[in-house]
Amino acid sequence: MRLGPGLSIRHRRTAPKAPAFPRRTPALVTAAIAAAAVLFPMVASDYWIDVAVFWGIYVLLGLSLNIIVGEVGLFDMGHMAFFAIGAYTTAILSARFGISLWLLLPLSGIVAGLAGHVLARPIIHLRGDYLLIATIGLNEMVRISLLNNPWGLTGGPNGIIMLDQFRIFGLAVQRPTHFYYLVWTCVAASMLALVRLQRSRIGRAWNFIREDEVAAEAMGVDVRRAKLLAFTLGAGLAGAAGTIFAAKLVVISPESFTFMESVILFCIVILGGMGSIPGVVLGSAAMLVLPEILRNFAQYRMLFFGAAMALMMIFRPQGLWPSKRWSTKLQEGEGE
Amino acid sequence: MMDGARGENRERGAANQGTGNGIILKLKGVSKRFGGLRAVDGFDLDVREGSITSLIGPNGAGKTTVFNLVTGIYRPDEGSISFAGRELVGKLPHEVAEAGIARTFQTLRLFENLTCFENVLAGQHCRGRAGVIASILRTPAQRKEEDRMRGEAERCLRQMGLWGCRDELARNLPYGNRRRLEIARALATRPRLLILDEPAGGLNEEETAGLMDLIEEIRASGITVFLIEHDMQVVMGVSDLVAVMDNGQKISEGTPEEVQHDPRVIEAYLGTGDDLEEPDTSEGDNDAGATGEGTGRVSVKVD
Repeated sequence: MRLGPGLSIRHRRTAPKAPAFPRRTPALVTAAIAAAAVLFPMVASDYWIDVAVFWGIYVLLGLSLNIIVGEVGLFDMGHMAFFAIGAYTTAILSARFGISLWLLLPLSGIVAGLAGHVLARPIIHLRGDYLLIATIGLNEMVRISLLNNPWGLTGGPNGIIMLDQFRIFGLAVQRPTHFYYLVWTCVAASMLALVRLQRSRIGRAWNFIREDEVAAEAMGVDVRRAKLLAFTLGAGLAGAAGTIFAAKLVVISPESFTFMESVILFCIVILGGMGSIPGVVLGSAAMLVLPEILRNFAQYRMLFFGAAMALMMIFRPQGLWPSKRWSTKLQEGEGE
Repeated sequence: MMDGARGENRERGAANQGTGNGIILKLKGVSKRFGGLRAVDGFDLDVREGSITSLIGPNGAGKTTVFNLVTGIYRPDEGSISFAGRELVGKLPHEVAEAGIARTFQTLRLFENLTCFENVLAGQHCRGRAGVIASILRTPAQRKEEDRMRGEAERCLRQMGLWGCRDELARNLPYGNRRRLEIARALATRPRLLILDEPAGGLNEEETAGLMDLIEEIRASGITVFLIEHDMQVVMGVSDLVAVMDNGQKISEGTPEEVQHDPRVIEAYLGTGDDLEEPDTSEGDNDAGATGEGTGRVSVKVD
């Protein structure tokens, strides 16, 4: 990262404190995590690889909702609507026109993003709980529309069967391992893009709005436009995740996109820490992987899970991995 | 206004050249009602470019409402507000900021959980253009713009003597520095007109003296200053022109000396000894900040 003049001076008050880690540590940790992620499918069973695939899909969804809830502070509890729009766009266009899934990945994102823009336009000025209720309405609108099989497109409650697969040089992405690499590559790419956005004027403007809308507006931030942009991008990323979801599940039906799923997504962002990208990874692990691990406890698992959530909110309301502010003194070591 | 015709001519000059001693901000017959309350009632004011102009008056006189009308938070029911020859009525707050008017708030409105540096970068937002794609790709133009914004933020922080705490969260700053940070943030928008809403509120004597130097310094750098202030030491010490408001109307206007001797002002404002104590009591009353004006005193007048 390039910096303005004089920015590389170390902070006077913190300089005497010896750094807890050598400066290279973050890069080493990142490399170690990346290596572990690449090697994971070689040691894990198909069952756990599948768990990791769904974890990855939820990380994508969490990242997309984090733009809206975490960065801007807009309470969106109907985010599954855009995931559904993406998944159905993929399934319908693939079945009817045989468009390649690689093309459908961005296309579904664009369709969902546009839908997000159009649906959010009339409600974007609402604040807090009012917006939350309106987005719950969006979720139900979309789900019930899909159930009603409009123009025979969505197949009603039975859903649609996807016959096509992602193909790389004629090789179909079918096995859990293939999906694993596909999903986590998408996660890594999204993370890079989102970190860069966070540290740009766009991402900062979102944070200003979250902190104080009136002050942000008075400083020259077009609040309405910035909010709509966040909603559009968030919906778009969820839609693209929908393509992967459709390819993985083969059959998609409205029951995958219930309000309850939107609540889980919302919890992922809050649990992980609002506006925190690593928080989303941890949050979705807590919401998805933990219940899988607790499966052995059968009927008690939801009890454990609910208690863990309640305790978490009492003792660590800022989230598992609260977002850290960018600081001028960190910039020398700053990499991605 | 005493020299209305002359002012008109100069205003045209200012609009053309962008400098000179013309009228930079002109309010004409501005009114704003809240329900039955006339918070601002046919208010006229000319702010001369390069001047320090103060707006004073008892609590609830409508001063903050005037500021909110200028900065686009409210839309006037009647009247016109022009800035450097351009009409402001109907512009949104962010458009007003972009046009060159920056403000601070009576009750501080910092981005509490962001660092000082980020707070000041907020002011630079409207001076940048980089979009989503440029930011993700880190295009050379975006990097250059980012460098420029950071440089500008650094300059403003240094000017306010806050460079040392650039990485502190705004909420951790002591009160006096919080006031300064808000001014730094406003200056980072590169304004032509700076609007300060009670900048001395809650400051001690030493900090107030520092603030007066700062206001002079800001004016010397070519920025017009328009302020609301209860602290008479500040108002009388720095102002070129003082306008006095009561019940939403302008009751007097002139140099600090003229205003001090105006019997209407003495009656409405300086007459009762209690009013002089207002800087201390005003803090709590006006917690609603941007929207809290236009109550109290005005409501008493309504039949």
